Amino acid sequence: MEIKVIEIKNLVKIYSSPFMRKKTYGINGLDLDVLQGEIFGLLGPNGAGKTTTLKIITGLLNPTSGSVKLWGGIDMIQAKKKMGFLPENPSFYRHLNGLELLIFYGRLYGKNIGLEDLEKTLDLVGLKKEITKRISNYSKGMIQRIGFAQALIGDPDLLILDEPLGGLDPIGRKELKDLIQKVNSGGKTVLFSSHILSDVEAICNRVGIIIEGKMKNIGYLREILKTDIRYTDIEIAGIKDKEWLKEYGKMRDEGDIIFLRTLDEVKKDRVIKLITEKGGRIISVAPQRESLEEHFLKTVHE
Amino acid sequence: MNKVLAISLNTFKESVRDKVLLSLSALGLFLIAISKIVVPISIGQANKIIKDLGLGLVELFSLLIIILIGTRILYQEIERKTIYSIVSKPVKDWEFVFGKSLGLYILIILIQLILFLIFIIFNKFYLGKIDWYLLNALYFFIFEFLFLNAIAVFFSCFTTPITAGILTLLVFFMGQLTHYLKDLVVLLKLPELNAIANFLYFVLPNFSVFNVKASVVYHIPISINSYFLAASYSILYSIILLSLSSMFYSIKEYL
Repeated sequence: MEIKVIEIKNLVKIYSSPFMRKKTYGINGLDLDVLQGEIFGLLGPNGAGKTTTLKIITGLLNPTSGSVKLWGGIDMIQAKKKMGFLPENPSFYRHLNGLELLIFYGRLYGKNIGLEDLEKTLDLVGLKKEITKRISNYSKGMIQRIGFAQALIGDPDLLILDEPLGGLDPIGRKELKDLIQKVNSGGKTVLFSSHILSDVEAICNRVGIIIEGKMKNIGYLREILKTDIRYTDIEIAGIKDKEWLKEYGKMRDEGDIIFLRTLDEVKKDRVIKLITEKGGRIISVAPQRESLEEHFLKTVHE
Repeated sequence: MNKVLAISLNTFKESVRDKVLLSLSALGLFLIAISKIVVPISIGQANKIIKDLGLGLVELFSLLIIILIGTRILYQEIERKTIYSIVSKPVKDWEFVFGKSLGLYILIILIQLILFLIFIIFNKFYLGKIDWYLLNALYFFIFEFLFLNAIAVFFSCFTTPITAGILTLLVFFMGQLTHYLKDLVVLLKLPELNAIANFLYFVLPNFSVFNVKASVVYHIPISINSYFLAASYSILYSIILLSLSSMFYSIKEYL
């Protein structure tokens, strides 16, 4: 049976100033369930309500209406004991070094974590060598890593990461993605928001697309992206007379190699047969489905 | 309690490294050191004037630390967004507020002890003997600034550091005059206002309960009741103010 770690129903968050009549909807009737053991990716354009949702779950903001249940509705302090949070663009005490910072956050979980465990966590995020370096001297990537470490320090069941891959270089992103998958394989549930769709596509089990404070689309990646083949790319070699190929699709001629994109399945089968008959060689046939990026853009524009 | 101590220790470490504190401490030491300049102009009253001046300086610098650092300790957490990683942890609002307040208070006590030690050494140097009776003033300072610290933290919960600093300063100066409220009613011959004056006298912060500087300088005995009153008044009022601050924090949101 699937256990719901987070259960959000009809969540509304209105931002209003006491001196202004204008009300802004941060979230407008959002529903979301996050299941135990999954990596859930929260997608959406800027201002869609991703960060607001994560802040309500972590207790940084209070909802205007609706309900947020964690582990079936346990007390917030109890829930926070089982939760680790990495905020967007995190900021930490600049006067502490990496080790001191983790000791401090560990004590906020009511734990006196041993040096060995602290070093293990720092090693996991690749900061073991920077153990005595002050946070004020950390680079952006190192801040993100120590942020990940502080989210892990209480050994939480649920990790909530707000734009964890933002501002990282490709190597840093790859390492952090691997880390997310590693902690997930250890049994932790991960909920994270991101703008980088390829990263979400690479590591998430399920995704939810938030637009203007509402959940527009939610589901398993394989279901969301399970659409018909949109076109097929065929790579061909050994054809001298190329002109006849044009009637089967869009052609790109690169000398010995020809790339043909066919939009029609019947035409695809026919052209493959003709190529063989005319002495040509098929190097590859690649059916193309909708990518998450295309799906995301389509949802945003709907 | 472990969480309160962790937050207070962190606040203490953070405040110790504050450049404002360093400048204030240097200025405090300098002024205590040059208090010798009053000796030639003191017309035989050097003993009392140096003591009075020294005690005044310890009080002034403690006040400045609270105004310049104390009113910022909570605000900085929000401004620098370090509070995100605190609020999302299993920390209760009162643990955060009491922890921050305690951290600053430990710093103030430490600064007062250092300034007092230097003050006593200079006393020995200028006046030839150590006046241990001065330590009575330290006892009252400790409770006076426990109270003032809570006032600064309370104001900083819902205003900017500058406003909180001004309000704290106002309360401090008004609190020096609260005990005149009862006299004022008598002086103005308005007995019908007696009840209001009495109410305000007990409710408004009254800093005169901590003011024993004259008794200390002139070696006038201080009653045991005064010690008890200063401690209980300060502790009770501080708990009330910090509890109210915690309530403010429980409804606060972090955008």
